[in-house]
Amino acid sequence: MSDASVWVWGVSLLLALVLAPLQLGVIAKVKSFFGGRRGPSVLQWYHDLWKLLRKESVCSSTSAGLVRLAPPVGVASCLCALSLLPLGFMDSPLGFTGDIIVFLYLLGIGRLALVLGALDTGSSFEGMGASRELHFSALAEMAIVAVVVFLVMLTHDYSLGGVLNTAGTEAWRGSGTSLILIVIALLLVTLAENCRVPFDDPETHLELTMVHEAMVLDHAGPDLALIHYGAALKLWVFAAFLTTAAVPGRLFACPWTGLAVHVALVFVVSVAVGVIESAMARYRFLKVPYLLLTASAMAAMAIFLLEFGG
Amino acid sequence: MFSEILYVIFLALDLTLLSSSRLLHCIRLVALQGLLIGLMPLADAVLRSELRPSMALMAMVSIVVKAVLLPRLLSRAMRRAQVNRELEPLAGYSVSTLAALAMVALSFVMVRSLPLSEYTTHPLSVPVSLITMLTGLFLIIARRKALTQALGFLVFENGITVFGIGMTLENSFIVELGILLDVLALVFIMGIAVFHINREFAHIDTDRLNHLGDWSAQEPELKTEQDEEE
Amino acid sequence: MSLESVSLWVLALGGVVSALSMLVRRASGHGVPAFLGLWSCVSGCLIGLCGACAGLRDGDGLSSLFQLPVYVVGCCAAVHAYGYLRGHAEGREGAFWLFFNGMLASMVWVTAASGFLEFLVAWELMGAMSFALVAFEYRSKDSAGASWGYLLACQAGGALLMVMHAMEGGTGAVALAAVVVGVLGFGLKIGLPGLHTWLPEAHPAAPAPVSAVMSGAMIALGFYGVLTQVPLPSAGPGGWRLVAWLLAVCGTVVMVPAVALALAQNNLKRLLAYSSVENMGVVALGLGLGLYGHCCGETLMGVAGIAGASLHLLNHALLKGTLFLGAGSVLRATGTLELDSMGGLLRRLPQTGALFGASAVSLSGLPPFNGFIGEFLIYYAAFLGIRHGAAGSCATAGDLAFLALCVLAVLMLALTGGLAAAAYARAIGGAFLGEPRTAAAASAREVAPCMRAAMWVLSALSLTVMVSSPFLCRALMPPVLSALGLPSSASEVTQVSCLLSRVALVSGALLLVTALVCVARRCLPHGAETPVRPTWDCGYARPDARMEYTSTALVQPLMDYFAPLLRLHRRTHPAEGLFPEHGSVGLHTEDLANALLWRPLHRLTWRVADVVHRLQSGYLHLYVLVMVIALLALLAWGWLDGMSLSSRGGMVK
Repeated sequence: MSDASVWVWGVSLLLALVLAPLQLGVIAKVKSFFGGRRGPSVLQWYHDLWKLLRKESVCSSTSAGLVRLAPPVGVASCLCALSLLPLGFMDSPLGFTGDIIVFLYLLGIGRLALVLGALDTGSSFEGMGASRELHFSALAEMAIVAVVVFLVMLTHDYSLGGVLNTAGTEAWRGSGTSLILIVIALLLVTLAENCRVPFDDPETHLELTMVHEAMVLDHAGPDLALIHYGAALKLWVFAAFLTTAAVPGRLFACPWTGLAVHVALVFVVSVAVGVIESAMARYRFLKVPYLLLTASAMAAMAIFLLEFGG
Repeated sequence: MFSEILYVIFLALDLTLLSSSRLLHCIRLVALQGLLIGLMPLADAVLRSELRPSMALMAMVSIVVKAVLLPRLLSRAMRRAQVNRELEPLAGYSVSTLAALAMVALSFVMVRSLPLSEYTTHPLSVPVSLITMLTGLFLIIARRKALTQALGFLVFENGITVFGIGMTLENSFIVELGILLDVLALVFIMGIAVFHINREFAHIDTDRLNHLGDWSAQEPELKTEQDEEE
Repeated sequence: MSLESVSLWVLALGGVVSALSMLVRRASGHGVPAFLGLWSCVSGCLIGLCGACAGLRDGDGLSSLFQLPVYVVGCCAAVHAYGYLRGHAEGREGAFWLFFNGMLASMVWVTAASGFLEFLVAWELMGAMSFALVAFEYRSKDSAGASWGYLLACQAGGALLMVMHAMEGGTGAVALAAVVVGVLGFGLKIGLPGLHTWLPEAHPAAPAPVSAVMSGAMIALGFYGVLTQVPLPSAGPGGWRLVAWLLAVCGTVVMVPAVALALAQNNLKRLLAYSSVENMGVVALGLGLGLYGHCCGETLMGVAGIAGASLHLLNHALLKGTLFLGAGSVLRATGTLELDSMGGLLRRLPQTGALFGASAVSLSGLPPFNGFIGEFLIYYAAFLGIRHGAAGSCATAGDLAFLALCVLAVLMLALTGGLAAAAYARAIGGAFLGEPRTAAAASAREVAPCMRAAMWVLSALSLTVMVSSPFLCRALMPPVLSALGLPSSASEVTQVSCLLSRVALVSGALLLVTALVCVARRCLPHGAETPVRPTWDCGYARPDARMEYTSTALVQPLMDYFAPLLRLHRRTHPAEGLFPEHGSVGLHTEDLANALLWRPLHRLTWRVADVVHRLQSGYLHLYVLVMVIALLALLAWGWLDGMSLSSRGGMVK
């Protein structure tokens, strides 16, 4: 591994840490554009986070302390997952064979911590959010693993770097249709895992219809800031996963071009999320599992096509 | 690559058909399949630059019949009968999706053992046609509404046509035969549909929509509760 | 005399002496018998543990591997039992310790037996001893049915093993059938799909320390049986092929239904029991993949699968031991095992709660904990299998089928992971978090020190396994592989342990980053201040336990989604009137295996018995007639057999 690639990867990681809240701003901007409003500045989330960080936190009298533990675990798990990902089309220097499994399960621990934190407060709404989160995440996990199985079959590799970066131009030429299916499935998983429309509406004000937002009702101040920052990082993780899998990164001769393209693509995903949120209503809760199952089915279909077709 | 995408879209339509509950949506999906069936031989011919007027005519006829006429008729029947949703499928939508995946796997495995490869225009054509036929049969078996069953017949017939397209593109006779089959199917399906619809819906009042199911008027407790929750 | 047999004798004699002291000092109650039983058990286990560690270096690796959980969990469970039984044994401590020590001794004997006959005797003894323990609380309502069911399962398993032994040495189909019968026989202990139904009955009925030993160590011995006693159709790695297929398929099939049932249980110990079925499925899958990998020459896959299965076995023993002991502590503290009647116990039983919670999260297979490493290796083996299939273009139908199995296994593992997290979120959330739902839960106190100590020791060992997993893998694998008659493949073992060290590093990094974030958060201007306020319930100022989501409500959407697997039905009593006082919704589930397999079988047996019953008329001449008919039929069979033999012989000539 050359020095340049490590540098590119490191700079991408830093950029991810810094720019993650910007994605939320971009999404909000796109939505206000479609709504015919001017909308908040793209930097609004930085102001919000800064404000929250200076406030004091409140702890529920029911809690046994898990509610305070959940936000740091969430941020830490996203950070660790991010540091295993190839960023800027460069393999992570921390990656190893089989890290793809660790990556998926790292995201799992963040989720479970949030769920347990929600249950810790004893609030009925947070219980409801936790219940929905458990339901959807179990199915989303199967979908993303199906995608990973496809990528493993395509690339005959099982490190994140190998799996995502090797799916290059030849792969698009050879099995482009299945890759299209995979990209759609991944987009669905990205939306589901990040609690976006059509799975969940992050901007709803009715607790009964919340999923993720309901789980964090009792977090305040710095805890809430950490939760939001963790969510932004998670969105970055999935956007990076999606774009690295979809775009043949070995095209770029200069590694720094790759970096620029990578960051640009992550924001393309944000814009896409914003467009989807503007164009779609969110699904009924009963329908969400079907949509997640459809994502798994698409990945399975891609596997069939890869194995039997063409 | 291009025809592969067409085949995969066709496949995706099959899957979506199995997992959607709105009848109008299903009809539109079948119409889209009809459109694709019309486009498939055309696309191939254009890519090989051997487009003949007869071929274009056949495609036009096929598109008009399958993508416009039949869906129109079905959606009119739907409006007449005032059903718009398959409320109680015999197999739920998750089960249907899993069944669809099983059918896909079965078809691919079956095709591997068939010595067809030298006759087909595309490796996906035969499996896709098999899957489409199975999807049609599944719709007929696992849905209650007469209209969905009619759609099932239509999908089955689409599968046969795809098989024809995939096997011998050069011989336009087969394509003509396909169109003939279409007309036959048209008469057949509408006959069945009208028969079923007459039999099932002759006695209904329009305000008792939840009694529109074929034969079951009682609803499981579980389903209604969930519906109310929404 | 080896350490192993010393420990065996200490255990056995300790149990007998404890029972005798009971007889001698009938009136004394707790003191002497419990003391004798406990110390003989602990010392026996510690001696044995030294023996097993030595055995890993220069003895039979497989039996040492399976002895480790017996000693560790047995020792801790004994310490826990000392507190668990106090005041609840009704003067039967001597009997408890006799059977408890006897059970541990017979488990050790199972792994030490040399011939099939000795093995069978030990196996049956183990079943009998544990039956007595399952029936120990015989006055409770569920105990009778559960213990008889367990006894039946033990007997059926033993009978199948005898059939297997009778078929040994056959050729062709008979040899294959012997393998199948053997796997089924041991599968009754492991809880392979359809054969697991005794588990969720017996575990809640038994005292918690006994459930801990049974779930952590005993059911795993089924794998020992499969690996050592099942006659392989052919020598060398190829002989494992059928066993590998059976195990992998059973593991894949059993995981999701088992974990779905686990999450549907309201009884904490039933939940844990179903989770044991699921985890044994994971182990079976790992073993199957590993053995298959050795059959088809993918040594890395073989080593990863077997290492994953071994590590998961150990982790499951430690974690499930902690969890069952924790469930016992909760039972003693609150008097109930129903999750919906607990709540808020983490504030009242902080140590028990924290240890239970950590073990539960660990057992759902999430990274910074040790439950992840076994699953990680099994995933890895399955991915290697997928690559093997995808790269080899699937020449034969068998290859294709194996590729499909691997893909399915990975998907099922993923789904299982999500569902296990949900099940344990239910257990933790229902029992330990939120507000207490009953007065008993509200007034619960932390349990006796010895009960906590047992859980602490097991959890500390879990942590040790997490940290030392690469070394553990390097120490365990060569003896285990050589005991299985497989090539030692040192480089692959090194590769796998390198992987484990990377996983351990990532886990460490996760903990470190979490700690850093926590510290950074405290350094904020108002970071250290945390005013305590009531839970914000969207404007409602006085939320109480009745408004909380119950643990059943938490998983209700998932239960609805898996309704066909659970045979879910609702009993609704709607609230009526303007000021309703009562109204309830109950979700009821049923084990698919019971509904589809055992109940019809039971009905059939009754019907046959009804018919046969007519023969039992009390007339002697009828009995003699039946005997004569049977004799004549046998004679005719022999005669026909001879005829066919001679005619075949004639054709050969």
